Amino acid sequence: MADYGLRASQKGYDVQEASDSQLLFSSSWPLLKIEQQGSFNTNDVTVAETVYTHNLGYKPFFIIYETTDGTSRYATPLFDGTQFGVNTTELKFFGSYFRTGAKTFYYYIFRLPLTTDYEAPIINETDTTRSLIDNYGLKVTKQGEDISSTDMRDYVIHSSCRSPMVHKVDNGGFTFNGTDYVFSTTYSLSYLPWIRCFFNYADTIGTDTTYLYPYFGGNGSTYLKSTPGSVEIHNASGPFGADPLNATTVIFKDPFTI
Amino acid sequence: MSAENYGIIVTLPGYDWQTATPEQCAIHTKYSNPLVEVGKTPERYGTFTYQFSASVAAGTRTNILTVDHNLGYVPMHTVSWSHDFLGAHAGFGVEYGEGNCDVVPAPYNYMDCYTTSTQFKIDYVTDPASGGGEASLAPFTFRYYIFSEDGL
Repeated sequence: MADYGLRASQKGYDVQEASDSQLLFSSSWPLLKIEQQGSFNTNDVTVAETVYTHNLGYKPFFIIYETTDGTSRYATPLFDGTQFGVNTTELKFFGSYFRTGAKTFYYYIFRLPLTTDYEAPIINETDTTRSLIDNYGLKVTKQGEDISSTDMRDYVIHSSCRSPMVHKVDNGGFTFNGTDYVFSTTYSLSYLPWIRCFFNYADTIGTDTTYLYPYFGGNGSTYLKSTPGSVEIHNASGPFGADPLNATTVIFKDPFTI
Repeated sequence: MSAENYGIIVTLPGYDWQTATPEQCAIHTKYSNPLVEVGKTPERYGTFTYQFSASVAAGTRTNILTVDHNLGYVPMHTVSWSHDFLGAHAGFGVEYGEGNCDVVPAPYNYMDCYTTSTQFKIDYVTDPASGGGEASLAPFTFRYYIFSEDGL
């Protein structure tokens, strides 16, 4: 295959010298593309219900925020016992285990399959210094938006911005080491990257098993360890009393330490 | 301006742009990407380290990071954190959490990470019944993004 493609650096960096994580994008790997975003309101958080029917045919990467009090909180399950999951057709709210009443959430679903393995190449890991001060670059608006807009919500890409770049998606099963269930992934980046994980338990929507947020930080029972080049997910037991079946680790090119 | 059928598609290596699915594209202008504006003061992304100097009393909220983003709307954000657990949890090594998670040693002490229309905040909250404390003196390291996308 010929060595061609398209890449753009963040403003101020020479595109020929910029490291992979200093790029705005590269045709060698995907950005995190938004499929759907929206609000979800429930009057009774003990009741499970469908949040959104995505019909993507795969289990997509998703993020949930709790917005009940007018702020936006990055919602992970242990925070208030609420749990969300995806299968191949739906984003589903599984209800809360120790809250009652009404709650409001905001969700994002992305065009990134959680069960399809992927690994991007590494082109350049050596950072360069920001040296260019010219006011030029690349910007592409969302369809129907004005290219002169100063609101970055109107853009698909913009040289004044950075956006998470996917390095690796690894899906696999847990193995029991006598103490914990462990899922291990290796990656070729020389630095510690931003990592997100999803668990697959026996909870199902019909017969289609779902992928959920894990309970990271759960008093040591579920945790993620990483050194540059490897990441391990440990789980002593499932948060619903079930053992985890599979996990997905999504590794971004963005360094944990910037 | 009307929403015409135009835009840019950049496929990943090996895929024909005329038949590639959005998942097989690096960029597809039908789908936006979460963007973080760079070069702002203060920056809307970063890494931040915080070390407790002493145990925190039960039932308290301690702000450990505030970023004035001043976007004028409540934005989407992400947070992850690492902590080298000591004491009873020695051996876990450096652990990573995401967003609003509890932290050892007490199960209901947690990092409360949230955005308002003007600020991004990380608070450490101790449970009234926990006996208090983040007794570990190992530093927490946080990594955050404040995106130019709606979080509410």
